[in-house]
Amino acid sequence: METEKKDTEKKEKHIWAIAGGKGGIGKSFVTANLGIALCERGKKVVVVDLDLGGANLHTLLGITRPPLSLDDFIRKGMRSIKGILAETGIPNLQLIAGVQDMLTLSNPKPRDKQKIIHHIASLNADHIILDLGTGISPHIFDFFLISDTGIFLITPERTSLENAYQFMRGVFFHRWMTLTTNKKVKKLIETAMDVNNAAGIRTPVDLLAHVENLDKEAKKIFADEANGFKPRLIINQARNRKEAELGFAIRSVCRKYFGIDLGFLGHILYDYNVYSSVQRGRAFFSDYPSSDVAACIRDIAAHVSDGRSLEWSLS
Amino acid sequence: MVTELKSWREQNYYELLEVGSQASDEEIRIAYEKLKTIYSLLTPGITILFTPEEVKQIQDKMEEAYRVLRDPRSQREYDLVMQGAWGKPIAPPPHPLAIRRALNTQQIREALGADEVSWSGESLGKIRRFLKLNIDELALEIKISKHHLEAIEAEAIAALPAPVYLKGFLRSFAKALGLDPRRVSEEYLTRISEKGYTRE
Repeated sequence: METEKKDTEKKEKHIWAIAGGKGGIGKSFVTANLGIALCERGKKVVVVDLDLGGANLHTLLGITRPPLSLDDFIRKGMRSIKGILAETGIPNLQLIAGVQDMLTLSNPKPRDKQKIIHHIASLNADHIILDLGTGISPHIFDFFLISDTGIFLITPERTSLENAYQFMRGVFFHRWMTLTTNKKVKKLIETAMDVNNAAGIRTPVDLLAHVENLDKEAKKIFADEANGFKPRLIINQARNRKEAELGFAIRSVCRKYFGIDLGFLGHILYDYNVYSSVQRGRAFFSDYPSSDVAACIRDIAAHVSDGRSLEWSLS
Repeated sequence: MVTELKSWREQNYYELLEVGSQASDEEIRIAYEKLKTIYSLLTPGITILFTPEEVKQIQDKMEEAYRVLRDPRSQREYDLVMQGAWGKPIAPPPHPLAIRRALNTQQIREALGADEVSWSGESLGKIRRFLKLNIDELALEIKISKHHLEAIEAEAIAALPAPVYLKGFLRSFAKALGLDPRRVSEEYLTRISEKGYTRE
């Protein structure tokens, strides 16, 4: 354990979480292929399947299910997460497989969750990419919050946007809940979690104003915490330029509505071949390395790699 | 750029236009143009969170922000106001032009020489002269041609711009004089439409 810790402290490691709320928008696809694209750039990458219920990140990497997964890590009380690190056949890319059938872990116990979180943070890599499961629930927020940077994956569909906005709102409230012991403030946050609350609290900014009346210190802590929240955005399955440019609108709305600086990393074009490569159980990047989709993902990897976002035009 | 958690209602002009406070004229212009397009399209990205009324208010705020930041003089003034507010958790200052020349009812009555306040070309002219504002200078400041400002003051129906522009001009004019833009434009438009100006 001691040496493991030392290893990670030496490195400039970055943990990314791919979130979105809605299912079927390509979280695992992006996790897998962004991982491969980062490896192409000479980075050491670990992708982690945190879909604790229907994990299939391995399929998107074109491999069969590794023999050991997070399920073994928890159930068998394994000492180190290194024991379940699986090779992917792609140099410098390793996988932590998720839980496929064990529905019991889809809502993990706090202790198990803490263990997973602690060990992910100790992994040794340049980039660790977490494939969060579908949904807008407390344990997904917890995994989201261990990342250095959360990436919202959004498709141009209205439903995907709705869920992403719900996720953003929820993650604020969830985080703040853990930062206070004041019962009145906790109660207020609980009220605010209901979108149609009687207090008329729509946004985290609204909530902050209410908290200030109850507990000035809590308000300050909440605001400081929120100021460090700088997530990113990727538009997936864009069928044309106009849909890709939706990213700029979402970025602006997040700045104006939530007051958060959402960096736009780029877009990924819609391509039927993505579907067919998934159907064949192949990694998209291996089958279509010179496709437009691969080029989009390489652009995003470049942004991820040097910590930049787009300005006002698509790459 | 947004640096702290606050909504568009509390954001300053730079934050509203999503640029850094050191942004170049070109950066400000590009951001403004892009945002203008974004908020005119009403894609789901926007309408899920904002009502049509809010979108309109955001558009107005962005127009106001751009009007101030595009002009080096008003921008500098705004920056000074901002520096004064540095570190203080207060709402952004009102329009800088209004700060310089905000008028209370008493002053308005004095300027007009009347107790009854109603807005017409004549009364706008009186206020302008009361503030010792030269029409050329004002034209430059609010980016409305001298010709149009003169036509507004003279209520020269034939020389007035089309209704779609006139409303905005009146609001900018009123704002620069420290008056209530909505009231000025409504009263003025009602008045001149009675004199034969077609509002449609």
